[in-house]
Amino acid sequence: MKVLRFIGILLLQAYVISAVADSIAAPLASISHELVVSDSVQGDFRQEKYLSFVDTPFVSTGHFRLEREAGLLWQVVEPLESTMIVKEGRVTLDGKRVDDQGIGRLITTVMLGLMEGKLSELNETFDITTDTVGEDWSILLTPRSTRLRAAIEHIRIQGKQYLSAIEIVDAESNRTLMQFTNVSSAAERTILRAESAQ
Amino acid sequence: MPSQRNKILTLVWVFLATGLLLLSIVAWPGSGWLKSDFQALLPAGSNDLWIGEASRQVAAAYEGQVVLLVDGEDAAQVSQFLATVSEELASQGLVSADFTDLEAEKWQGLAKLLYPYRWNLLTASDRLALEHDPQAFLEAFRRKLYSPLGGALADKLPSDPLGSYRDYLLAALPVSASLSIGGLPETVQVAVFSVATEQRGLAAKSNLYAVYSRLKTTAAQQGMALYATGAPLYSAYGVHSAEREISTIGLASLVLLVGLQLALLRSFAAIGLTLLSVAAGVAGGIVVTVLVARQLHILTVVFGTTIIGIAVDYGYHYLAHSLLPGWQREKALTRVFTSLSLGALSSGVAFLALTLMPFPGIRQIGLFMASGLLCSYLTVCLLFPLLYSGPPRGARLPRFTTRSGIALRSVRVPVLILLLVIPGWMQLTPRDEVREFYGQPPELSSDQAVIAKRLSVAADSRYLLVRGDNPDSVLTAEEHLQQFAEAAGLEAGTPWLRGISSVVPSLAAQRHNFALIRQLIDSGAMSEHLDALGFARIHRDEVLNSVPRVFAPLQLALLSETLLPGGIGRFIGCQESECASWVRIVTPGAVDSLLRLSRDNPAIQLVDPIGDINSLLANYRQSIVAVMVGGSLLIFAIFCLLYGWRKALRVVPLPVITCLMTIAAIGYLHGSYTIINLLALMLIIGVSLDYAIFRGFTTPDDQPAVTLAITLSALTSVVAFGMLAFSQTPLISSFGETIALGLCIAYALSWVRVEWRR
Repeated sequence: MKVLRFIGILLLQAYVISAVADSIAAPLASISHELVVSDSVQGDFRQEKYLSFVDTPFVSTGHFRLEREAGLLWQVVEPLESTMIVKEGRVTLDGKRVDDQGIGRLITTVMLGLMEGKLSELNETFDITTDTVGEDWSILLTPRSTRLRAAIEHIRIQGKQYLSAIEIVDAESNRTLMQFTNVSSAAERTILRAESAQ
Repeated sequence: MPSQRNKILTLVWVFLATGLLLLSIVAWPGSGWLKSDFQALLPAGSNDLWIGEASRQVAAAYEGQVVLLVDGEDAAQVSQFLATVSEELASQGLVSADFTDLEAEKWQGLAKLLYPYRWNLLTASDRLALEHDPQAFLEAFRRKLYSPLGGALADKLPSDPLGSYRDYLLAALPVSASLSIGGLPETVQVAVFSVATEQRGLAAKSNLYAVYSRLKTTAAQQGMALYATGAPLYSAYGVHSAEREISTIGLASLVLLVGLQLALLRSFAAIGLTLLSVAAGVAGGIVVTVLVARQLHILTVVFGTTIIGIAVDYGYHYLAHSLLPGWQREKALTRVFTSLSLGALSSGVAFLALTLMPFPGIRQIGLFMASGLLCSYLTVCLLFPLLYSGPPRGARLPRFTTRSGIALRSVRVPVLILLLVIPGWMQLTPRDEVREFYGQPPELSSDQAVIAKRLSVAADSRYLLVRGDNPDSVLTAEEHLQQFAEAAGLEAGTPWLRGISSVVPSLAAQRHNFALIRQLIDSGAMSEHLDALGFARIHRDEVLNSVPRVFAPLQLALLSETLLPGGIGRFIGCQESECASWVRIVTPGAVDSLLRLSRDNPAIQLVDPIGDINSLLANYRQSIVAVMVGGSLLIFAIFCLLYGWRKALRVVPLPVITCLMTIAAIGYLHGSYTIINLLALMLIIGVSLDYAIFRGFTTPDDQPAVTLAITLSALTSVVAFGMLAFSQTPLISSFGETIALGLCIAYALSWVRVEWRR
């Protein structure tokens, strides 16, 4: 029963996500430099999950908004509407608190790290490999601990100024891909609004 | 030359000792005669089989666990430090394995065991949703699948197409594991260890505390904080401090005792014989108690050590007389026989009276003391005449022994004393709190507070005992608890209880759950659900066919095939058409509501082991007071019968006044008293009664010897027990302090003689 193993692993690792590292590896610092640091970002997402027993992947689309204080709002529009909110370690789905088992907070931490340009925090939990081609960059996160490795094979993050995709491959090689579009920071939206007003 | 009579007496002693030894060899009970659990002290009527077993299981769940929490500023450093700690504890053999790993293995084993029956297992909220609106339930599940939280659910769809089995397992997980640890920042890390069973001995415990202290210092030096809690650490502290006290207090008192005896008796033989009489008392007390009661409680042994204080009096009384002018070996026993016999008889009768009490603990103490004192008395009377040839040449009574006592000729002094002691009594209030008996080292107490706050859990030993006619009725009663709780206003769905029914539901609940799932399949709703998820046809049919058509119940007996994880209650068993289980209380705030529930429902009982022990202590305390009053009256009656009321009035006041003054002193010093003070008073009464008898039944010419015997007795007892007052364990220090106070008062009063003016 790997369900339990998975739950157990995530339980143990869920609190290991929000650390602060002293040293920043040079490539990671370079990517951090590329990122637009902001208090708030929002955009659209498309999540695809590939499973061996279904004919077509699970696909969901919607909007997200991430704010330093308000946390993460993840709104699925298609195929079924739902709203997930992650704030101060608490996860709710459609207004009800849920046993998150770490996934919601993992995504929030990764996205917050990218929003605030603090990628070094990921260094505590994952071995990090970076790749940069022009403005495009990608980070490959491989779990350091045996326990987390038993649940997640790797996480790949891609982006330019903003995060553009997160791919999670679990230990059973099932793949979840989250793609982000129309991502903008609060400052950019203010400028756009000002321009359209003129 | 030893006379024929002394040889015969010695032979009688040897015969008795050999007989007792042979009897103990033949009739000694098997293993387990030494008890340490409080259940063994309960009166027979209230010694509930289920409560005893449940309390043992609850205690066992805590006794081996140590929780470590490391708080720092750097997550990597904290992680590294915790790893080092784990390695060190493991390398020293102090911990058997990482508790978390063991628990995870147990959960995996349980999940595997329950898996074939997963269609019978639904959480209360899933069941309610399926009953109310199955379509809405399925849609809500699909919404969750498409959210970021759906990852783990999606992977398991072929075996768990509704996510209901995952929900069920999550609901059964201990709350502390699922919510609290997950809420900690990364710079705070927790590890739970299970102390190896073979490492729960005294030496290992002491080592555990030393390792804890060292690691705490190391953490602080590295800018981190290490907090630890768990029963093994408290035990380790107890052993650690006891070792320290034994090595300092024990050595100091031994040196003082030997020095005193040498100075006053001037004979190594006398010291050896005194020790022999005391050893005979202790050994005889243990053997007789075990042979009669078939068991011996550890507390009986602890408080039975007071026998030393009384038993030593007989030896001193005999030996002190040898320093009188004209002492003859042949007549030595005759000279002290009456007073010795009266001393032994009065103490023996008083302690035997304890055996009439309904409490096993007090009965044992009474039997232990009475039989032990008899053995000491017999040793002095039968062995001393042959083995003690007399004091060394030139030895004489110290000069102070020839001083006359203080004559009391006026009632003003007693009235003044009475006026002084009354306010002390008025300040006294009883305290029956067993937790105050043990030392709470400040560092462990503060560590425990930090860990409880960080993990949002409170250690609570209370639990619910659920009874029924058969296993299934017990499970049903457990399930009704949730309904009772909701009726009592507790939040629905709050995980405030963990019983075995959260793992194995009742047959009715399983049957109902299974029917709900079958209904989903038979109505085609499940098929539509899988189609909506995009299942390939072959996989969809596989899922539909995996649900059996006939209900096959999950039985409690199946759990015997696996080790159950911690954090949930247990089914205890069945006996004589009654079955029982115990349910863990997860949210201590719910206890008030549970108390109301248990009053209304005879099948459910709220058990508070600590509260029960405190109630037991209160009962014992009240009984001891009654016995002390009754015992005093009994002794008075015996003396009245044997020697008339005038003589009785010269003996009984000393122990009674000593007792009353000691109680007043405790009132002035502490304002409250416990059963420990009363047990100490029993020793004080025994010793002061000896003083009074020795004084009252010895000729004026022999009074200097009595003075020496009393002085030796008082000094040795005050030194030996008084040193205990410096112990860091409240139970021991309170015991020692009371004895020291009482014996000082008794000794001072032994110098007073009443000479009323006509």
